[in-house]
Amino acid sequence: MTLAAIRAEMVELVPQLRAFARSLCRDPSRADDLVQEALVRALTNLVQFTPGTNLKAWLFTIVRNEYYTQLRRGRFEVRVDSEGSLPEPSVPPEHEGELQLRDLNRALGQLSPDQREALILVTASGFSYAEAAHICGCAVGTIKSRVGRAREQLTRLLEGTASPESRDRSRREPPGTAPP
Amino acid sequence: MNPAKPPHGPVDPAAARERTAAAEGPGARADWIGDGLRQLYRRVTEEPLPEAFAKLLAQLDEEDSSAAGVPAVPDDAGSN
Repeated sequence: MTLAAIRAEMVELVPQLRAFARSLCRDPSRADDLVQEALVRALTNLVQFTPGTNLKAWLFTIVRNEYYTQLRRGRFEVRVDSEGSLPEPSVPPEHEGELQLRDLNRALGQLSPDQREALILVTASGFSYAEAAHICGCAVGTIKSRVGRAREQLTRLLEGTASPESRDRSRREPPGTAPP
Repeated sequence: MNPAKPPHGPVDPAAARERTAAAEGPGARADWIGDGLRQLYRRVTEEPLPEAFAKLLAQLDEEDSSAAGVPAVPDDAGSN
């Protein structure tokens, strides 16, 4: 794999890196700054990448490390708000599906950072538990339990917005119409 | 509790299978959570890239043509 090919693959991964970064730091413009800094770092350290191994996981690791480094330096002040991690739907939430997504997104924002990143990596970014563990620098079992607890927590948070009798009906459709 | 098999490593071919199992989560009850998360995530990936990225990406292309001499160091490829 040539450097040019690695760079080309890197370019293709940018949208996913943006989505992951946004789930980490929850502020779109800061997330984009984070990805750009991570890309510069990745390019600078490109010789450390082993061709043939997982470039996507390598880049995600760099984004994540960059985020936590900046967090430790106080670069991201803690912003506790009720907004979700991923973008609010841009269309008016007139459909029930949109309301459900909005609620899910807000619930996602209430998870602990550990649980949120594990859940996003495995469920949305498409990494295996092993790959996610590698990215987060922890044991596979830790990732599995974080994902499991994240899902339980989301279910609890979303069920909390619905009346008890609607829970049975919500087996496939989460409650989304009840006010928070 | 979780149907996923124990994973073997970052680029293991079994990872693809496991990915599916992991993404689907423990049972149909959780499917809508997974679907919703993937949908939210996909929306970000489908956004047009901000201008700042265009600059960085152009820079990437330039470096491409000028940095051809930098060797990639194959380490222990396939160590997983």
